[in-house]
Amino acid sequence: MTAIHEVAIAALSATTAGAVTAAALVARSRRTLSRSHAQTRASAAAEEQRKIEALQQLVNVRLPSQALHLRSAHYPVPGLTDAGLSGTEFAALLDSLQELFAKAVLEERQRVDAAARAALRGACMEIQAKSYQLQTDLDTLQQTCEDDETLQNYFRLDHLNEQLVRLVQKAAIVTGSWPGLVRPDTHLPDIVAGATSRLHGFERISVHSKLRTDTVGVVGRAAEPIAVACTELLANALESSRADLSVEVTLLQTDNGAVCIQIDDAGKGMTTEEASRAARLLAGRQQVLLTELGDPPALGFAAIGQLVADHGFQVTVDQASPYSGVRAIITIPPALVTSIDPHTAPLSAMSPIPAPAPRAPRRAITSDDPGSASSDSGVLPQRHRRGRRVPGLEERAVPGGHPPEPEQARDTWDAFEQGIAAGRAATPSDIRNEDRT
Amino acid sequence: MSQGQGRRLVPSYLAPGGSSAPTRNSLQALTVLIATGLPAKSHHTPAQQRLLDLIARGALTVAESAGYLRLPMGVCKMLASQLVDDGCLMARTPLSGIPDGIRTPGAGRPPMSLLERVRDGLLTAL
Repeated sequence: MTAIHEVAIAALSATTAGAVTAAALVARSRRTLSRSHAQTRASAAAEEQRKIEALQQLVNVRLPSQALHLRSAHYPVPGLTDAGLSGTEFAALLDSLQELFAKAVLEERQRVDAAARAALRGACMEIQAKSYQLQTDLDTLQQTCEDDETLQNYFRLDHLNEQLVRLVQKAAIVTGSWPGLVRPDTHLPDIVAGATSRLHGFERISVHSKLRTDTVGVVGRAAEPIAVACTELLANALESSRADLSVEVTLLQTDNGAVCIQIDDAGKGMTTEEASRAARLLAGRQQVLLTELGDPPALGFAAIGQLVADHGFQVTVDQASPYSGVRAIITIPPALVTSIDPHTAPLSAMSPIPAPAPRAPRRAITSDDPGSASSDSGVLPQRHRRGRRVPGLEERAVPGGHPPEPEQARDTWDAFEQGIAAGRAATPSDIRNEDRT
Repeated sequence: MSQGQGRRLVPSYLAPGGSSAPTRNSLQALTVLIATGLPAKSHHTPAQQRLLDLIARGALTVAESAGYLRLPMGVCKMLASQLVDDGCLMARTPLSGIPDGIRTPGAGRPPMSLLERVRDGLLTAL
């Protein structure tokens, strides 16, 4: 009994102790649990806070600077500042949001720009057509005008109209239109003269032609585009140099068949930044947005770039002129150069007069020239090394590229054959045979 | 400018250059221009130099010069009057083609036979 009692007590106490222990354990684990819960909550809150901050950074900093960056690459785009978030799904979401934003902005900008270009193009083409009508009318009036004063007035209006045509044509080309005119094959000096006429202050431009012949022309499809490009480069040269300085234009023919229009001004030149921007636009490889061209838009280089891309001539402005300004060169490749007979299609009276070609050195023919030894001098004719052929001799022998008159050609040939016959007759046959061996 | 040639490229106002209005209005279509032998000066435009070259080969009327240079007559008059002012050209009043009152006496009409020969020549040329 006692034993049972004791056992019961012992068991009870043991149970109680176990329960107490268990209770203590439970309480401890509950404390731990609540502490870890608190920790989890705290860290979740912290993470949420970091995410909010990253989101705020995206909205307040990254997206605006992305918008600025799309306008100009000079603006940097900051990335995610919180390094702890990098690599997470959330960071990837933010990045894709930024990309989406950039894409939407770009697309919208292209769309708006295309609409602006279309509107400008439509307006330009109509104005251009009307200006050409006005040009025709003024030209007809000038043909019949007898009075000097009236003629001067027509000239003034005509010049104003030409300047207007130039501005409108340039804008039309930048907005994706064609130059608006197709010309027949045209003499190069005429193209340059026409280009000067479209500018205010054309009196300051002096054109020197160093072309060797009167036949150098540009194929029809490239005539007006080259005139437009030349006009824009001349306009830049006039604008960037003082009003009392002249602009020198030189027409050159290179040995590889290309023709160059070289424009030298004595202006202030271009900065490196301007030059690289010009080179980018003149290459004509990418579509330019109107919004990239400044306000008011500077259309000249963009128009040239468009024409260069369409027609395949080259324009460079990266050299300094001898007068420390800019030297612009239009290079017209042989494919766009053609030959025009000045008799059937004469040059305009206003185009520059070609400078006399420099005299090519010529071998002097002296009396003791061994080639002139006659057969009766007792010396056998000997073969001699001929002097180097002077290039351009043929051209000079036939000035202006005219073939000789038929009668003259016949007489020359007659004399030549008679000379040969006389020489053969005078030479004994054995000597002739000896000469041959 | 001319039909079939497309739109003109070089306008006439380039011909006299940027100089001011001409000083005389006495030149007429049939005024004969004669070279004085004085060469062109540096301020003369290409069109003026071409006119001078043309006249140096022999005297021509204003109308003929305009035809050779393919310029409107008024423009050619303007060029010629500047060259006359500069002493490079002489202008001689036409013998005919001006009002009867100031016609040079002694400048008779050409004989009928000459006119007939001219007509015949023109008809054969056609």
